[in-house]
Amino acid sequence: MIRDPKIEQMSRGDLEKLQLDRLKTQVAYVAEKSPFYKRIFKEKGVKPGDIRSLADITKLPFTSKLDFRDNYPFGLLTVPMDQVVRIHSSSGTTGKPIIAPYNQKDIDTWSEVMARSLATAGVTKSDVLQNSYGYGLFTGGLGFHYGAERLGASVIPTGGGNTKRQILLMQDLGTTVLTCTPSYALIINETAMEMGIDLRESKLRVGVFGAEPWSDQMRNDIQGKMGISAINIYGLTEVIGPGVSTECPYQCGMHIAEDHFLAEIINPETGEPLPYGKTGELVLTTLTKEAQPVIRFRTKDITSLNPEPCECGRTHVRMSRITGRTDDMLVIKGVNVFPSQIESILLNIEGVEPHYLIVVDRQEGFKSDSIEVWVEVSENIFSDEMSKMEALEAKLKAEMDSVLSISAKIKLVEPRTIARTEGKAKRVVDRSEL
Amino acid sequence: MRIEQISVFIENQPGRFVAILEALEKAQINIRALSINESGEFGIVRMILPHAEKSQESLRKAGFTTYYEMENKGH
Repeated sequence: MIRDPKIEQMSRGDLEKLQLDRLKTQVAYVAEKSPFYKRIFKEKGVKPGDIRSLADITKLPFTSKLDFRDNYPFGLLTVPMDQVVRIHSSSGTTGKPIIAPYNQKDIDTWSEVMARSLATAGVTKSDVLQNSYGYGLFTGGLGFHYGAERLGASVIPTGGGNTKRQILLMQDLGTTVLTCTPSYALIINETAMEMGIDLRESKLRVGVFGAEPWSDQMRNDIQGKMGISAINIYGLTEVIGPGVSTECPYQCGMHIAEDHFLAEIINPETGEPLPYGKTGELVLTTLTKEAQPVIRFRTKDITSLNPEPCECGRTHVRMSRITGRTDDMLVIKGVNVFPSQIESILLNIEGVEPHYLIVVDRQEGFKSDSIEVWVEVSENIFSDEMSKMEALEAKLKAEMDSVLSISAKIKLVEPRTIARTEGKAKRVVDRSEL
Repeated sequence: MRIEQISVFIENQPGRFVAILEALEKAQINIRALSINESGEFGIVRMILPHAEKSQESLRKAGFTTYYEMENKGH
């Protein structure tokens, strides 16, 4: 169901007019209210009046997580504290937490984009929605809660944890929509199976999953095991929380709420803007926020934008699933390579488990950079026919070359050649470290 | 007669073939026949071994990827 047809089906031309209008207002607003933006605009030699077209946004300076940290806690606040009605915060695992203050209008905007997101995912007011995102400082819990209430669904605010009770409530209250992280969805399903409950036979029909990176393979797995449509949703604390973009049931990219957020894709190395379709770093500008607007925020998330009309009838641009973080990016012969690209190739080739290692050789300088991808040969891909093994090697190489657009050497290695690490696996090493 | 052939994936690295022999020695298994097929950086070692299942288990324990094919070449 399209919640707001006038906005969500607006022609690209009208939408861009609306965005430009709002961008001008937002930029003038921060230039007036925020000492921080005043300073960085001045450093870049740009004034609000310089924004005459959407393309002029490139004249504005970028902002990053660092700016939030440097201005902790309230250096980016643009309303008096007595107008702030809520303060969220990110987990702060990599330093000082990110502080997200909202005034009443921001809460209204956020509730509306979340209600729209849920509607986009296929949720209606007749649904019983179990919200298993964590409530509290994290934007997930209350973001989904307010959006679902605004949509008119019946919300069960279970929050995370106590999985057996979650399953009990799901059955007794007839939950039709589950909202949580994709990994928690899998835990719920495993626990249900241990309890002898097949969730495919429950009333559950939609899951709206986000707040962590996941893959299409994981989606297929969840959909098959739980018998639901698993929808991807995206958002960040710095911008507003969840609700920046959401997939429709066609599952072909997440529609960005472009009337509230302006999206750009840039080359993460140079900061240059990239055209539609090209993969790069997502940069977001809020268009309607009041308490803590953000201009050209570098998300570090890697994606691409597709403005083609969607089968669902929405005109808002679609962003592809996040394929990586700029933090993980490698530059080989001037080409950006992400470990996640290599992982997805391996997953797509039947039977190959993603035990791999990327070996980068930089000893002889930039021009002769090379990469090797070591792939462990497990029993499910091993054949005693040499021709089949050679074919596998060739297939991997062809896929790598076409996806990475540089030549990678494939090396098939014995299992356990690649060190297993606790937690996050080390996927990239420099030749000199071997 | 029943021919039991086990194939092992092996990297073209010094000491890897010895590791196969050591694993079989530890399990007290004699190799009846052997051939090695090589392609650049890896190879496939094919062996005719008695007690195929036990042989495969000992190679797996030593960390090798194996392939066990049982053919009935009946006479």
